[in-house]
Amino acid sequence: MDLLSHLAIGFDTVFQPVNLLFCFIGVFLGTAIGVLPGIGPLGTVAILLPVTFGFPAEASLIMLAGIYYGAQYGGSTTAILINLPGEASSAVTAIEGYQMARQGRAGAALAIAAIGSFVAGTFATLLIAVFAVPLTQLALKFTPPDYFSLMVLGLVASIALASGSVLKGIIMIVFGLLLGTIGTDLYTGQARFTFGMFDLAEGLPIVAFGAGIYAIAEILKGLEDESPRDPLKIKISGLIPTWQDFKDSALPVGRGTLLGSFLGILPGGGAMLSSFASYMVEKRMAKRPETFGNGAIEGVAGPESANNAGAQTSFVPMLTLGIPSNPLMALMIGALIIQGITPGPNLINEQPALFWGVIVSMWIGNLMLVILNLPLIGLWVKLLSVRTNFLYPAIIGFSAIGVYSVNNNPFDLIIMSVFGAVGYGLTKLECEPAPLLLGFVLGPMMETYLRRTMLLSGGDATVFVTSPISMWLLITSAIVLVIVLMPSVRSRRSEVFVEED
Amino acid sequence: MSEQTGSRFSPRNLVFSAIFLGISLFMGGYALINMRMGIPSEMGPGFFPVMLSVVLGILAIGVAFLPPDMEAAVLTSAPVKAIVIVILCPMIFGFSIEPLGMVISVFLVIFVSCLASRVTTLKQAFWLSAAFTVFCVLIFHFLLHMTIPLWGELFTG
Repeated sequence: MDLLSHLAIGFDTVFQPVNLLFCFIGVFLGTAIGVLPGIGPLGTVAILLPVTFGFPAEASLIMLAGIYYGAQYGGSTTAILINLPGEASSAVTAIEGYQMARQGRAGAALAIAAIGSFVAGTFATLLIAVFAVPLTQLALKFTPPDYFSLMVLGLVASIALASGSVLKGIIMIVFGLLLGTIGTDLYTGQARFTFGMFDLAEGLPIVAFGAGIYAIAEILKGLEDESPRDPLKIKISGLIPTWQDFKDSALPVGRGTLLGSFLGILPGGGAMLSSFASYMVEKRMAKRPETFGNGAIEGVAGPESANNAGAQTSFVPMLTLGIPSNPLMALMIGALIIQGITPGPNLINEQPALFWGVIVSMWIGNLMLVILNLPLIGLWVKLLSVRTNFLYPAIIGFSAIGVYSVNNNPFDLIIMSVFGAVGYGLTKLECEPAPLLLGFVLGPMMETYLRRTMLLSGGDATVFVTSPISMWLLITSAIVLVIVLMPSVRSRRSEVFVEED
Repeated sequence: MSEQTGSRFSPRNLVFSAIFLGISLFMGGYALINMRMGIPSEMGPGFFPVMLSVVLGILAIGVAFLPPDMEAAVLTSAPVKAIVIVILCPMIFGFSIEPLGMVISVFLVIFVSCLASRVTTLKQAFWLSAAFTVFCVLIFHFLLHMTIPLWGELFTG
């Protein structure tokens, strides 16, 4: 059977000792940075990206992937224990998880989160294995207008992630697209918005841009209030959930897994959208809605499964289409290119060991997370007692080294400073950085496909609705936009984001 | 920011609107003047940027008319000193890494960034910078074999 032979290739790759080691390093590092607020998988991958140059391609991708899903895991640990989501995607987990912790059920919440994540990871791995080949074949049928519409859908979906107004979210996207046009025009070779600076010829460096927008802005937010945090008074007892917990969690885990797997595939989706959507679904379907907000285990099980499934399936567009569905995937593409590998529909045939190895490694990595992290929870809690005023200088230091090492160009550090200021300013205007960064990443690709489409159609824009794939993608985008704009959904979005504070 | 009840405009939204309208006019205008537009079937380098600038401008105007958010959080900000220091830090690293090298540059950045905190004492800042520098040299230079030189051009000539 095809499926089994594909998975066998994957297992062969992962079980090479060097790859197992890198998988472990990835999930361990990922959990650590997931626990620490202020430094996320994006920054960490950015720092390690230049370093992976010397590694074999499989080991490098397996490790970077481990950082991503390991971070989701670490993020939920702190969300549950101290109501401080280490990662944005675990903000939802904090709502119910922290309530459970306050009732002395932190152990059960952590265990259910881990088990749910593992179930979701297993299912997502199988799902990718089953659908990767058909999806790549579908991808080969994609024409330029289809690619363009797919990216439109991704951008629209990313608005659902922004907590503020929908209009401001769209503005962030357009601004990001506009920033993406900086650099040399690929068709004519003309410099655009470089103002005579050679350093801008290849566009804004993404690692510097991201580090500024996220890390610097986040640090400044932390410096607004330096009053000491309450010392941790957490006692974790009873890691084993009760039979009732298992019964209550089974369906949410299943629903979260399905929802996350689906939303992760969408460009713009991924871990955060999935966990958010899953919480909404669980709250609506709950048999006892009154328990929500008071430590409902369903509100931990669903989102935790969803964000893990979403984190994994968000590799699908990157591995099959060569399109990054979020900024982190853009860095993964960078990692492939450093290795001399072109991402795209042919990757699966040209690099089967890499493709299946990465997919199977996610399952192995999840297994490592379950086995290692439940006993290690004490260590992670200790990590949290590091005071923030000692932590943020280290984040600045690591980010600066990471940004510099990408191109060995001091100019990139200036970009980091500039966009640090921009990023902090935007938070004061109640704007989210995620749509901005995604717009920036997708901008150059969107323009290329737009121009190619119009060239092929002779300037006829109706191809976007006459090509069936493109038409359905655009219709879906319109539906998503309408849903996000619906008053009931809008109020519920704000509700969730208020509760998270 | 506490908006007055009954006011139709939110000051924060007006500022937002003005900033992005400005960006739209600047980038759109710059693209119109300096880049060829082309026609839809053969777009020039200016087509996409101008198109985006127009959309950005229209949306930015729309924000000005958003009703003020009554529940908006009070506008707080980090101390100016902290903002200036943290934003300067990457540049300090950028300007010092080539002449001075990793050891001094990393020490400098960590030390200066510590000054942004009101809690960290100078003594703590010194020891944190020293420890972090040693850590970075061990990890990046000896373990990961990164190519950033430990000592810069000023010392090695």
